[in-house]
Amino acid sequence: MTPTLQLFTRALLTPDLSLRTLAGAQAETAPNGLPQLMRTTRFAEARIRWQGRRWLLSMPLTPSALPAIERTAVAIKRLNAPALTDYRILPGELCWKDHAGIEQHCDLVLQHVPEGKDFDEALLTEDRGLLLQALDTLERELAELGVAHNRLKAENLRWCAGRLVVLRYHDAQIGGDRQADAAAFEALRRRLAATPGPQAANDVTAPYNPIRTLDGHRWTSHLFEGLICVEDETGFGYVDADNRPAIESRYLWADDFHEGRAEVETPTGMGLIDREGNYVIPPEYEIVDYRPAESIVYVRKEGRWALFDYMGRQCTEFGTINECKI
Amino acid sequence: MYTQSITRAHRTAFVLLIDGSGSMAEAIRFRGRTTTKAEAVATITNDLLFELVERARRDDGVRDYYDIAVLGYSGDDEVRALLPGGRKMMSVAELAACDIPVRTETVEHRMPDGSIALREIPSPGWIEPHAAGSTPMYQAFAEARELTDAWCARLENAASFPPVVFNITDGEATDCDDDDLRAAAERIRAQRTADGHVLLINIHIAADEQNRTIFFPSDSEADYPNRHARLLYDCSSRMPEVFEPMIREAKGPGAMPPFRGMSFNASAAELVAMLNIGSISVKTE
Repeated sequence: MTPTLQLFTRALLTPDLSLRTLAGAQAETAPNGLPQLMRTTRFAEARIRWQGRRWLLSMPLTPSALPAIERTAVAIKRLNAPALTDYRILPGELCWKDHAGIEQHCDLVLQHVPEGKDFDEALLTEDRGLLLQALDTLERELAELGVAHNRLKAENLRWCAGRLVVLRYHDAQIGGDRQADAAAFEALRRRLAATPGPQAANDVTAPYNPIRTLDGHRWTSHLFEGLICVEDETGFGYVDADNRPAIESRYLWADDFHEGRAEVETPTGMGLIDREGNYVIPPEYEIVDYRPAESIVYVRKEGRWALFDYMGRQCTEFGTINECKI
Repeated sequence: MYTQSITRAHRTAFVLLIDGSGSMAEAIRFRGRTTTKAEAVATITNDLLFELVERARRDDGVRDYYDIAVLGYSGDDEVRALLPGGRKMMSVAELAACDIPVRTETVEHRMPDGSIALREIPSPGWIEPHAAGSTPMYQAFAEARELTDAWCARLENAASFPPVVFNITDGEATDCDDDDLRAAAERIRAQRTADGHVLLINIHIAADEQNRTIFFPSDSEADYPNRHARLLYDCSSRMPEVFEPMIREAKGPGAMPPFRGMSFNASAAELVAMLNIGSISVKTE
């Protein structure tokens, strides 16, 4: 059963009673104390703060909403690109009791909102040339990544650290039409051209590029726990802060390290490795979803889920996502 | 039939009839707490109004997807409008533009040591609990028919998803006999747009020692032990096929259509689920 907006609102007001992972979250509310919701055709959305960061939390409004974005969420995670932010499905996150008193669960979608400014605010405060350049860069990056956002507009853009980041991937397609966003980009450029420039606060422009530059790789991530995930010709691997190889680049995809563990994918499936590159969970599963905050791992095999602990020990039998409880 | 998307070009209407008679002061278990039927009905009505408003909210504001009417019936055969300003019907955007009265709702939860704790959270409060006087349900049905008749007659609504009327009550009408009430309900259900007939959904709140509930009953579940519920069953619409998948999901395995738009001996929790399903199954774009 798809939950109601009223139920979602109550959950936002009582996260410790209604949410699994986000029990410590705090919803942004209106002066009357009610969370401010926004909805699209298939999702309702609220802004929350969790672990000191801002997030968008979305609840599906129809049963078909989540299946439509599952592939996108997995693909976005693998892309690990600076133009995109953390976007993940939280299985069974919302808990409630139905009319018969039976406990029900619903997946929610969580997306990180990086610190910075909304696009409209950036229009009034940032140099027009920089914004135009950032739009060009974003369009090129999305094309290179094969990401068609399909709902690109000012509300879904965020200006942070000298670049534009896109939000809300509910309608995105990976490997879809690369020209799908072309008209939207043109509309944004026209809007940029029609907006008066910012009042000069000073005459020094200092673009800031937060991306660490490491030579010899096709792509690099950031430094996490002393290791940087990189993509080379042979695959994904890890180097240390001085660009020395730490774990051989042999994976189809790899994530950053968190609490000494990282998700990786090989031709035989996904697994979890430690800092030495040893498999804690062998690479034989469809999905390995590691939750560093809880030190647990959701693992999917043949469409069924089980929980593993930090040491890679299986804690539950494979079953439905709702049965994944320790 | 019943497939028209609810858009600004093809709006629909929701009419809520709220029994505020004296018997609504009786106690009922609601969300794990003992409260009055009137309090439970007010909470449920506010929940539905909140759901309707928020379902229409987009990033450019609340869109005019539907009109809403809330009529209370009680007192000396009195039917009165309960929306802000005493208006009988207003658009969802107009309702959203009014300041939302906020009241405090108490949520009960169990602590790790097994003890019960209460927590107060804000909730919207357009409608206040009311319990006084008789139950002029016939009069309320007549008012609802006038509203839906006028709404369906408007050219711009001709192709729209038809209006949905929710009647929330705990007992029998005091201003007519059973046949009169059946006839009044039939007149409501006879109104139509090109997309289908008006839907009349009756929600019967009645305490039951066995905590028995019947939810969108099918024909095989029509053996009711309460004559008021039988009457309300007769008055209720047969639910269109488009709603059947969601109703089956809500009722659980084995539920077989056709279903009636009604709940019997509903506790407040079933009432919430029923209202929400009845209103949000349809598409809004």
